Amino acid sequence: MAANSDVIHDTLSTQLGRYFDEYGWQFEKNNDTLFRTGFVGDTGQYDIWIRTTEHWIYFMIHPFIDPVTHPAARVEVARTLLHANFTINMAKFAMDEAGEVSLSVELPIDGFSYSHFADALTAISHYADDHKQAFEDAAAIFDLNREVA
Amino acid sequence: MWSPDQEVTPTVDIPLFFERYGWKFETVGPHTYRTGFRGNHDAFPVLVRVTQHWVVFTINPLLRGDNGMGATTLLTLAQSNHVSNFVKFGLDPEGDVFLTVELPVDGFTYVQFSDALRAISHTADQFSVSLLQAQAIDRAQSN
Repeated sequence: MAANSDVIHDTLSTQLGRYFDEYGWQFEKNNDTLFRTGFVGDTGQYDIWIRTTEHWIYFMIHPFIDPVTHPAARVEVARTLLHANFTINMAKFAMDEAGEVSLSVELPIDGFSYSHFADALTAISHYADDHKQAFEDAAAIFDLNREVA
Repeated sequence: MWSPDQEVTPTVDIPLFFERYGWKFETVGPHTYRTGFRGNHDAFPVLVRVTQHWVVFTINPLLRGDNGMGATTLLTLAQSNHVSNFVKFGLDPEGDVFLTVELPVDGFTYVQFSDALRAISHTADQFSVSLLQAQAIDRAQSN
């Protein structure tokens, strides 16, 4: 089974390299199961991590915003995250116990193709840019030193 | 290609997959089907909808937000997204909690169909108690 898994990852790893070339984005390969790419959007610069397992491929921006430490702000960010999840396809926002927010796309390896790869990168970059301000506003809602625009 | 706006077109034979899976279902609209299951803690209806690009499995409401969502519930839901695979928790415009699985129509197989049904039913059952507890904590704190 381990040998099969290695073959799957090797093949997928090679495929991902080709997909990146086709998509036109530069990437860095940490190992056969972990890649890093990124983009500069209207709201900032983002790293996207791509990780593969036996059955899944994950595209993830983490952290999406700076860790939210204020307890009340963390609740506002959670609310923003949950409403955002209603409006987005293919991706989801999540928060860990430390208050760090992630944006991710999870797809099955079974049937994974270039169109899925391109859709995942397009979606995650679009949603990152589209939702960044709302999350930063929620995180800063109790920041008394925040400058009001 | 991915697009935020999606039109409905028939592409996947969901009734055939339901028959193979052995779950009863009913057609409730164009390319929209309803099934359900009884878990350890509750019964849940599941909607399966096919759009141009996606097959979407949804339980809504997983939890009603009649009196708004308190801090404990919001944090529990946000963190549930972090620890669960394949599924997404969120709040709809009415403030109800939904649980969903979305898979691309392109390359959609019976294996993915059965994985999605298993994931959404398992997750709903697994998290429903902790969400009800979180809601109870919020209610107690607001009184």
